[in-house]
Amino acid sequence: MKILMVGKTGVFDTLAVALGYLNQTDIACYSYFGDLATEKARRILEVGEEQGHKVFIVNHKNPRIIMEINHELATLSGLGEQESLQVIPLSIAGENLSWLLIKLASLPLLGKLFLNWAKRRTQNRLPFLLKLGQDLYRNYAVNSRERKEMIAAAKPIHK
Amino acid sequence: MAMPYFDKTSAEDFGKLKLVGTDDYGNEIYSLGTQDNNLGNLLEDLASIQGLSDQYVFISTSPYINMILRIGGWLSRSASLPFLGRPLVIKGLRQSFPQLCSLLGSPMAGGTVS
Repeated sequence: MKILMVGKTGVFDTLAVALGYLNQTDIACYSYFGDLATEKARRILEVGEEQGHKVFIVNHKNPRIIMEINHELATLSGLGEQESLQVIPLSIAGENLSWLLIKLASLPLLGKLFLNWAKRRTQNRLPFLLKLGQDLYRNYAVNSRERKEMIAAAKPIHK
Repeated sequence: MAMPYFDKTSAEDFGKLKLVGTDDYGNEIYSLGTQDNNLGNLLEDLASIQGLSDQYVFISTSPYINMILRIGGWLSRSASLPFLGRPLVIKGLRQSFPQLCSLLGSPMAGGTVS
């Protein structure tokens, strides 16, 4: 199964949650962590694999829309639940400030200051974000067969 | 004005594919609102990961959405003032219509426009 986590910030907080899901901790070893160009390019990035579940991340200001689009594409193409990408829209506490800092990172001259702030903020919140990912794994992956609806763990947005 | 969804969509329609019609080659044409003008890479990746790249061509209309169209659309849909917004939408659309039509050339030639 392929899982796409969508948060307001991709290579910052959402990456950390994905690492928690994958039971990893070293966010600094990911070359694209805190990379503004990658964040702006809005490409889907593969973070890793856990028990046959490939985990991807991307950022969007309204994560629920990505879930809706993916559902529409899969329905139109006749993909079943197992074949299609499972999109988990995330609502992470404190993510709005990170998102704002990343937006300010595009400013000339002062931008780098905000970018470093955003990276430090994610690193400082790492234990919290990893825990969210681990909770998500427990509630989503382990119970995926019986899952009727997602339990708010990393606070996925309910449809 | 005769199009089924013309100036009638709501916030709930974002992310939903709306069938507009079929072209001369038999391709189904859908419209999609995304609340974002930089979603080309993401949409292509979504299709690619699921092995659907050969089924979809995504074309961004954002470069041709002019200021009149934006203001008119906001007045009509977000501010719920269609009597003010719709004339602006029509005016803006008339201005950008030739460029929007010219977009069709690229995907038919086999490329992907995003």
